[in-house]
Formats: sequence, structure tokens, C-alpha cells
Amino acid sequence: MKSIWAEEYDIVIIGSGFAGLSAAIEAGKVCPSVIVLEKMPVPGGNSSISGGLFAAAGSPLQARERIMDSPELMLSDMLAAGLELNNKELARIVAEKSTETLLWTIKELGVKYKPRLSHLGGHSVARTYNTANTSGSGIIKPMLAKCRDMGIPIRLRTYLSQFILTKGGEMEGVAVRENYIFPNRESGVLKRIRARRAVILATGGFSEDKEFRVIQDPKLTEDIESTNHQGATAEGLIAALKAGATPVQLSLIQLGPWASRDEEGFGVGSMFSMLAGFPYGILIDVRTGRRFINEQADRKLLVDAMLSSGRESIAIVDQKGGQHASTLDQCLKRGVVKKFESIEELAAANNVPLAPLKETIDVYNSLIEKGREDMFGKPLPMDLLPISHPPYYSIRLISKVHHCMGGVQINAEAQVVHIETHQPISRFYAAGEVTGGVHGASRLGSNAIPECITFGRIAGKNAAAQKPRT
Amino acid sequence: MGIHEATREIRKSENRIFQEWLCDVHDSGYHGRVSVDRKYFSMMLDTVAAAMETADENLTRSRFDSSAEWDFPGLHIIKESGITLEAFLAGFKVMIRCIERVILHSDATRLRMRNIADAMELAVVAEWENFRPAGLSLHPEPIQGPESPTTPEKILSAIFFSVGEGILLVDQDFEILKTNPRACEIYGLLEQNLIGTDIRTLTDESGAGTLTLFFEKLIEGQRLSAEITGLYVDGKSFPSTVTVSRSDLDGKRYWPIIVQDDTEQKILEKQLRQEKQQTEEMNLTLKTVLKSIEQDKKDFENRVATKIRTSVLPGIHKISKSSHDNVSRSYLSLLEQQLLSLTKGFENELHGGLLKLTRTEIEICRLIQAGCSTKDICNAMRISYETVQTHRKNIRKKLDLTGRKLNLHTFLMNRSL
Ligand SMILES: Cc1cc2nc3c(=O)[nH]c(=O)nc-3n(C[C@H](O)[C@H](O)[C@H](O)COP(=O)(O)OP(=O)(O)OC[C@H]3O[C@@H](n4cnc5c(N)ncnc54)[C@H](O)[C@@H]3O)c2cc1C
Repeated sequence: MKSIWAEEYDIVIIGSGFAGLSAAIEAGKVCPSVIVLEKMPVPGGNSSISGGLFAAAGSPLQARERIMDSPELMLSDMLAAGLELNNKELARIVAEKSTETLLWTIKELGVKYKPRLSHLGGHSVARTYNTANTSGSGIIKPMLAKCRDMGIPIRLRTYLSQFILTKGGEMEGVAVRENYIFPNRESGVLKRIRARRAVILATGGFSEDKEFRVIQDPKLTEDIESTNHQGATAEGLIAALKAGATPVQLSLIQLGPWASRDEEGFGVGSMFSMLAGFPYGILIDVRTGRRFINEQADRKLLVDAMLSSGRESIAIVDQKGGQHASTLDQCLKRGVVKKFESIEELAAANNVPLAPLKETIDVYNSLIEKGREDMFGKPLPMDLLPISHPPYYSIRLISKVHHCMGGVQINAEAQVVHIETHQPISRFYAAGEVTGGVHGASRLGSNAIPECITFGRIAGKNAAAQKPRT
Repeated sequence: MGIHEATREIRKSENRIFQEWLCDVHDSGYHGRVSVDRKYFSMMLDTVAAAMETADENLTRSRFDSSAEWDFPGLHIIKESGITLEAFLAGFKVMIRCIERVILHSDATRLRMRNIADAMELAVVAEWENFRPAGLSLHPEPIQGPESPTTPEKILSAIFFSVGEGILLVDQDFEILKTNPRACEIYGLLEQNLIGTDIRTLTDESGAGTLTLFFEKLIEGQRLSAEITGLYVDGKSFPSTVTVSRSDLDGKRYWPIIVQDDTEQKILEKQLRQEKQQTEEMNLTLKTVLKSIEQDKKDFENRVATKIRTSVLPGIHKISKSSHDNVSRSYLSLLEQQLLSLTKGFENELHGGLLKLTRTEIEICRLIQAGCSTKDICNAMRISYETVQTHRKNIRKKLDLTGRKLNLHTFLMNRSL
């Protein structure tokens, strides 16, 4: 009988982001034949356009700066932001392995990070590293180079359309469309690829899948933009569900509060707000000229406050605060951030009532100068400066769909759990944003990268440890 | 305060009124529906002020009852807009309240302004279907992005997106402003990654040098190409051709760059080159073969000459000297054999052992080769039967034939001596 399989590998990985490539690198150390399939004509997915922010508890930079931190503290931050909807076991693994994973990217991949930490909203302490080029491509490029060294092929334009299970319910391989032209699902040629050891699903989130996301969260209508790459769609997740995977919290979809109204997607403005506007500046309601929330709150709280009663928000920061954003020059060049010599000019250009704005800034500055507590609960660290050094910068904000907390259920070994038996589906692993539960109601900024790489590596190692089938 | 004074005051205090208005609109619960655009606000305020300026002291509502008389300064910009009548009125009324709060203290002027405002309001309501204030979308300025493109623009952008070559638009800072999908594919980077990237990071040092040079010396409308190394996202380098031109816009320079991945072309070129090299090598071999044939021919001629000198001529000499018939016959057949071997050319093998033979032994071998029996040899060489036998034994030893069932004649048959 002629075999239905056109090709056979030890391990078949779907998706070439952080999760897929880390799995490939770990698996490739043990297995001679590993392949990564990617539906887009370019590798890297959301990972390569991400901000390259990486949270690690108990890191070398924290030690140098004498910042007290621990995986326990990171975990408690995750649970607080996640409203305790997190899968605690998985969340704990991310927190505990965060520093180990960070060091792996440095030692094994040669990733370069900036020599200072950032303090992102919702984190109790500054624990966020940032790649030297302020982008996830600073990690994706070395990962791809490593795969090339190891002889692991990344086959582009190859779209996973279906998983194929044995009669006994084991994962056996995948049906793909080769020479696929995104997003045409009929394009390409059908082909079946068998996995001797295991299949790893790493297809990322679905923030760009307008049809699917509005089913999960009816508030996320078509007209709401997203920060994601075009290929962040749900087919990989759906294929897994069809193969018996358990869906977890698919309706928990996060919006980013820091995105700019004046550019598409994530752009350069988001990093400006995250690194400068929120920690070193203030968030203002354009109509009232007043603050309305702790700028360093977790994303969900921010977005909820920003969207309530149709607020329009801008972030304001002065020259000292603006320095913290490495994307400032690009923001100014593209008109995403505007520069003003005085608060008066800033208010006029943004249609903000001047008197309340001035008062707001004065009150905020005196909080800092006198070391008082902020009524919104914003942490005011010792090195925070009053907003008083011109020029002043402003950025107009709008919330954009950013991250899918939900996905398929996995266990601590990154095995996909069956919806009926609650047992792992044999030879089937998943990692990264396509999985659900780690972050609960809201993912903290810079926590996705440690999650994707940590579980990617776990999946890769465990898949490679499977005995090859005959 | 008279009405004209009040009007001047309104215009002078526009900023303060605007601030108040912003706050009030927010509190009124109409925020989100009323535009907070400054231009729109100024237009409304201007209308009220203008109406008050032209109004006489006996102003009545009726002046505004008919839209024909209604002189709205912003009329020309009142066009399509999504704002509802209700939202417009809310913003308008709030503004009147703010004016009152900020400047109008006398009851008389306040009343007059209210009259004017009411009249305007009525007129707007009556005429709502016919005209609407302009620019009143939820977002004061349209969110950045192209206005709906015309058909030729759409076609142009479709071409831009679908051409088989990569296109990059680069500015004075070497920063990439725009790319098409093919360019993304060539470098393995998403559009989001490529935009904002320094073009020089996509090539090696010499490629960066070439580009810098092009940027410096290109004049508008000129086009230059070069083959430079491209860098793929995984660090692999590939051959590419870039064609750079320049276009100036609003005093700034831009460089549209067309990129071609030459990997396949280079493979084809390499194959062609290899094929060419192979034919050249073959030519060379043929030449050497011809040369060696030439040489062999010379060698052959030399050998023939030597052989005639060493083997044939002495034989003839011997025959001429000999009186015995038997001897002459042997030498004649020997001669025949020698001549035959000359015509045979190079096919005969040379055996290492043959070189060890003495002259007498070689002579005996030649006789054997020629088919002479031991007796014939005794006669021909005038030596005893035993001596020939001893020679034969020694020959066999030297040729490594002792103990082998191989006839000396057979062995010697195809060998040249
Ligand atoms: C703009 C942006 C900035 C971010 N910044 C940060 C940050 O600074 N720090 C942080 O921690 N997190 C950040 N995040 C979140 C984080 O980047 C993502 O959660 C993470 O990259 C997901 O990695 P992944 O490997 O799971 O998926 P991805 O990187 O999205 O990769 C999945 C890949 O699978 C492919 N694929 C999907 N379906 C199929 C199919 N059916 N067949 C074949 N292939 C398929 C996709 O095309 C894609 O290439 C950011 C996210 C975005 C969008």
C-alpha cells in the first residue's frame, strides 16, 4: 500500500516565533531531523516585531542595582494582574525559570540586552530587560542563525491545515499546504508530513483574526485595530481543538493602552509610552486636563479606564522623562510624538483645557517633591523627577488589541491536554501564545517572552525524549 | 456693558470660554458625542459674536426665523458630518452658558445674547436637513492615514505590492520608509521590522559603501545599479542587485531602491561557467592527446629505425656470411618475426623480467618467439643442445615462470624484445 506520508521527520514544529524556534533548538540537540513549518513568507511572527522586553526575577542586573526580587514576587504580580484566573502551576514555572531562560538567550544565542532595567506597569519592581535593538528581532535573528547552524530547516509558506491522529489517539503528523499564499486557505498543495517522535504547536495568538476574536469577545469589533502581525490568526488553534485539545479562557483578550493614534499597529509610539510616558510622565484625559488613573497600573485597568465613557487620552512627559524611550527620535520623525516648548503650547495643540492641566502637573510635581502618596496609587520611586524640563512631549493614545491570554491547555511538561480524558494527548506538545492560562485575566508587559521561550524549550526537550515510532 | 462691548469681550476671552466649554461638555454627559475640536468651537463662537455685532438693540427672534436671512459665517464649511442635531445643540447650549459665566454680567446683554442664541437654535433646527456644521466627527482630526485613494492610486499601490522585485523607499537618514512584500521576503523580515531600519544593515560593509556612494552622487532622475551582498534574517548572505534612483519631494531627498535576489541567477551562472570550464578542459586534453600521439609517432619511428639497426641488419649480415642452409633458414624466419613485430606497433607489452635477460638469452628468446625449436636454436647459434637447455631454464627463472605450466613460446608471443 502506498504511504499517505510525503515526508517524515523526528519532530515537526508549527510556527517560527519564540516558542517554535526555542523548541527547535532544544529538540535539534537530540534529534537529527527537526523541521519548522511557517505559513507566512517571512519567519518570526509576532515575536520578531515585539518590543524585546523580557521580565526576569532575580537577574544579574537586579543584583547590580540592588533591586530585591524573587520568583515569588513575580508570581504574585502575575496573579494580581491576572485576577487569580491564572493556571498557577504554569505561571510559577514562568516566574521560576525567568532568569535561567534569560541567561540561556545570552549564553546560548548571544542575545544582546541594554545595560539597564525598565519598570513596567503592574510589576512591583524594575525587572525588565530590553534587547539592544529595542525589538524582538534581537532574539529572533540569533535564533534563526542558530537553526541554520544546526541544519534545522524553516519551511516558509507551509500552512498547517489539520492534525492527523492514529486510531489509538496518538498524534501522528500534520496535513499542510505547501506554497501557501496567506490568507487564501485554498492556495498551495496538500501534503502530509509524519512525525516519528512528536508534533509541537507554536502558532501564536489570534489578535488579527477579526472574525474569531469577536466571537470570543463581542466588544472587539472589526474596527478595533491590533498591534499584531497579519498572520496572527486562529487556524492553528482551531486545528488543535479539532484534534481534541482543551480550550482555556479564549475570551480573555488584552488591549494595549499605550498604542499611538497616529500610526498603525504597535509602531514606535507604544515603546515610547511604555518606557517613558507612563513611568516618567502622566496620563491625561483630554477633555478635563486631569489624570484619572495610576499610569503604572496593569494594562487591563488602564484600558478599562481609558475606554470608559469615551475618554480620549494623551501621555505627557518632559525632556528628562523622554530620554528613557529609545524610540523617541523615530517617534518625533514620524509625528507620533509631538514636541512643545511650553505646557501652554502642548495644551493648545492637544485641545486640552490649560488651567486644569497646569494644576494637575503642579499637584503631581509636588507629590514627587514632597514624597507624598499618589491618590491613584502610582508608585513614585526616589529617582522620579517632576515634570518641569522643557521641551515637553505628548502622544495621543488609542487602545489596540494586543495579546490572547487564552489558548489550548497544556500541563507542566507542555503536553496538550485532551478535552474528554483530561490526559495528555500522546506525542502532542504546545507552547507560546497559542496556549492558555499562564496569565489569567491580563498578561503583564514583558512576561510573554519568558513564557514563550521557557515553554518552547520544555516542549522541545520533552518531544525529543520520546521514543521514535517505527 | 453694551452689546458691542460684550461681543469684543467674547472674542477676547475665547480661550477661557473654550476651557470652560471643554470641562462642561465633559460633565454634561455629551462627551464622546460632541466634538471637542477647537476649530469647530471657534466657528460656533464666531457665529454668535457676529450675530450679536450685526444685531440692533431691538433684535427679535424673527430676524432668524427665516433661513434666507440667516447669515452663518461658517456656512461654507457646514457640510457632511456625522454629528446628530442633539449633539450639536448640546455643544452650542453649553457654549452659551460658558459665555455667560465668563463675561456677561449685565442682565440686559445676557438676555439679548440668549435671544440671539435661541433664534439661531430655532433656525438650525428648522434647517437641519439642509445644512450641518462641518468637521464634527468624534475624532477632531482624522486619524492619520491616507484619504480614500483614487483608482489610479489604488492600481499603483497594487503594482507596488505585487511586483516580483523588492522595493524599498529610503530617506536621507538611510531609514526605510516603505517596503513591498517581496522586499520583506528577500530579507526575511516583516514590514514592521523593515520600516525604520537603516538600509545599510541589510548588506555588508562594501555594500553599505556602495549605497552611501550612490546616495551622494546620484542626481535626480538618474539611476545606478550595483551587485552587492544582501543579508538574510538568519545571517546568511546572498548575491543581490540594487538599482537606486533619486526623487526630491518638498526639499527632501528620497531614494527608491529596487532589489533583486540573484541567488538563482548566480546558480545558473555558476552552472554555465562550470560547463564552459569543462569544455575548455576537454579542449586542453584533446590537445595533449594530439601532442602525445605526435610524440608516439616519433618514438615509433625511432624504434623502427633502432630495431632495423640492431636486429634486422645483423640478421641479414649473418645470413650473408652463413654457408649453411639451416642457419640461413633460421635467421630468415627470425627476420620475418622481427619485421612483423615492427608492424605491430605498441600493442606488445613490456615485461619487467625481460630487462634482466643477457644478450644471448634475448637472442634465444627471439628465436623461440620466431617459432624455432631447441634444435633449430643449437644450429642457428652454433651452441650445444645442453647449453640451449640451460639458457632456457635460466630464462624461465628470470621471467618468473619456473613451476608454472606456461610455455615459453606462448609467453613471449606478444612481447617485444
Ligand atoms: C507588537 C508586539 C509587541 C510585543 N512586545 C512584547 C514585549 O516586548 N515583551 C513580551 O514579553 N511580549 C511582547 N509581546 C507579546 C509576544 O511578542 C508574543 O506573545 C510572542 O511573540 C508570541 O510568540 P509565539 O512564538 O507564541 O508566536 P508568534 O511569534 O506569533 O509565532 C507564531 C508563528 O506561527 C505562524 N502560524 C500561525 N498559524 C499557522 C499555521 N496554521 N500554519 C503554519 N504557521 C502558522 C505565524 O505566522 C507565526 O509566525 C508583543 C506582541 C506584539 C504583537
